[in-house]
Amino acid sequence: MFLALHETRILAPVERGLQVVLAPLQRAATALARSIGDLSQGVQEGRELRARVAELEEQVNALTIENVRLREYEAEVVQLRGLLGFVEANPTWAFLGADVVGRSACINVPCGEVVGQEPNPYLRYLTINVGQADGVAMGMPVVTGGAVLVGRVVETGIHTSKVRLVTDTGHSVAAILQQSRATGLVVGQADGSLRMLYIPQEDTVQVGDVVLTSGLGGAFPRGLVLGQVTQVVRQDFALFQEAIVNPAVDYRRVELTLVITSFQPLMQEEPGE
Amino acid sequence: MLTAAALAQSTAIAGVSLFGARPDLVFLLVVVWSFLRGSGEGAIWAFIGGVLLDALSGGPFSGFTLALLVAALLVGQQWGRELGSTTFQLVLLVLVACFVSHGVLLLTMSATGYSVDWQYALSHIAGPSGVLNALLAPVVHLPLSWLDRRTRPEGFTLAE
Repeated sequence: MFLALHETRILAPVERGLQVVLAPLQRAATALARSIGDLSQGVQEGRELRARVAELEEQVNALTIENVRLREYEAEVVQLRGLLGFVEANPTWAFLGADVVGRSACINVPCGEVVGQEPNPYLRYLTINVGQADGVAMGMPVVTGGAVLVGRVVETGIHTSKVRLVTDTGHSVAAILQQSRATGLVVGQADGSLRMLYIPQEDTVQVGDVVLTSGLGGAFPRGLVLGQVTQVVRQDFALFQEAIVNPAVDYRRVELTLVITSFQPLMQEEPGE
Repeated sequence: MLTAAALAQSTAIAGVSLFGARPDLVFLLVVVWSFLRGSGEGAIWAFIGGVLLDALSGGPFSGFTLALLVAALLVGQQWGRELGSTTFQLVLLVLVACFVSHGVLLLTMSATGYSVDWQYALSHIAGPSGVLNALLAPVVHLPLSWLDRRTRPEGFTLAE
């Protein structure tokens, strides 16, 4: 009957009215269906994105680790270059290398590592893992990159040695100022700095002047870097002036060292003077 | 445990410094154990820990041993036990013991020919270290009191 009414167009107004009412509902239903479809697709894509993010995070972590390792290698190369330069600049001296975790980077010398720090807060020592078996003996100077004096071997074991740092309060080194050529004695201070004593009053000491070992006394080679003058302490009534010296390296961060096993002391070079 | 603490103190912790104060792990283990178990056992821990630190140090051998023994004996005594809570007693005793042990260490160094800047040492290292270690003592007390409970020999029981 509906078919007959439809065919005879009697129901046309009713159909149009229904279309008018249903069209928006249809659109809404379509939009809803699309939204549900989108949501479903979104969930799927979200899963894929999460997997992708996890994958990328893994890659970032791996790259970060690799970057850290490369930075370590870079820092080591810089230090090794400094030591190599020092060795090449002093071909007549004999060296024994000590570096981090027994690497094979030191070609002609056995390598070791800085294996320990001083547990006593009032002393400044380092322990390196080259000892008597490697030819290390008491009193040998120890340097690090850039010809910086680290200290002197004060105790040797079979495979380890203790190095008293120049900043230790019991340590003193005959020194000379690079620019003014004034001489004095550099001693370690309790706060970890250095102080240059016994500088003649008539000498001009300037802030920024580099302090080197003078070689006097024969305990150390001449020309090793100790630090830089940061303050001059001069009193008119005193016999000598003093200088506060900033150490050339942060000794807590020294990793690579060279033990100078043989060098020509200054006293032997200038016997006639 | 003492060996691990001594190794940590001569490697990773050696570079740690908070306004001059350094956490003394071995010292803390010794004094807290002495606090828990008395000066007898504390002295044994002090001897072992002291020898380990002396072996790792470039300073005079026996410096740490003496310093830790004195600290253990001091903390292991019963004096001060009626003052306040257990935590307060511990903090107070560790503060005093830390200062005294640093003094003993410095005296040993001075007696064996090491150069000692007393004023700087006491004001910039011993003092701040005493405060830091006293604050850390309750933290160390937690695991050691657990260990104390687990290892404390049981008392006599009357036979039925």
